[in-house]
Amino acid sequence: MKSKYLGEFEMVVLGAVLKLGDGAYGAAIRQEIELGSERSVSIGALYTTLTRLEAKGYVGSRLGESTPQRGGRAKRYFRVTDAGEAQLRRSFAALNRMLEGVL
Amino acid sequence: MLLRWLAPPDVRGAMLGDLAEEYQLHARRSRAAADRWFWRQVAGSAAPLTTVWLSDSVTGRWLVAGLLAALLYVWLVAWDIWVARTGAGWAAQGTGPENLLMVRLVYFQLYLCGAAIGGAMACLAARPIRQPFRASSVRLLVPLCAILLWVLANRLQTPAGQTAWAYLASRTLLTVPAVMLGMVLVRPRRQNGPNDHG
Repeated sequence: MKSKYLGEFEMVVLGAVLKLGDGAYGAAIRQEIELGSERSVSIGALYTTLTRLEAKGYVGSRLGESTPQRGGRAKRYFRVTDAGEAQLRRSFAALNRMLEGVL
Repeated sequence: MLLRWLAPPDVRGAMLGDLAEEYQLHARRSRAAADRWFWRQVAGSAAPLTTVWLSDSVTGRWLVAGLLAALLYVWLVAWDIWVARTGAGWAAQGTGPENLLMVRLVYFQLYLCGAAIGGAMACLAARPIRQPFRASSVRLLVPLCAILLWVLANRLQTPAGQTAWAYLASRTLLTVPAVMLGMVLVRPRRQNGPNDHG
């Protein structure tokens, strides 16, 4: 079931993935959100949201390279799909309309 | 260990790899700070991952269904005891067959109401689960678990002079439709809405 609008954290995550482009994997996305929004984000909350967004078709993912620092585990790179970008624009516009004249 | 168990299987490796990578970065500055960061991550990740695990994994769903069924069963037993005590009071007021029929009718009406309220409570208790309740197999598992508990418990408390299986069957025929009715009455009706939160 797709909701009409994205939640606030979903918008933040999609924004971070868009910003990072080809380098968007879990740790980088988490750091980008912490730097950009000055809020603490747990890796579990991030992956929960990314998994949900992927199930809705708003992000896609592919496995990347593994490094010794990662204990030999592969990175999973995320990218925002066209549907995800359109949904982000729609949700952002709705939020702007809602707050117009208030802030 | 906890995160490995709770993480969705398709992102488990990547998530643990990210944790290890960031831990190494923090550990270059201070081992103690890296440990603190790691435990904060584990604590912050437990709640969202548990919610997803409860709604998505088969074990998690059975656990939720079992807990809800136990809650439902406790409610029905408490209701049964209350009605039986009140019914005994009414029965003592008269000795004729009309009075006995009246007591039994009132008993069954109250019993059905209790089962329906129990079903509604179980349905409402399952609402916080991430997936819509109607699309979740928990909806089917709750009555199933309730019936299993019902059978197990009634095997022990079947009144003297009654056939165990006839008693169980009659109770099950009364309980299950009433529980389902209660669940249907409080089911979420709205299909779409801005209710997603990260």
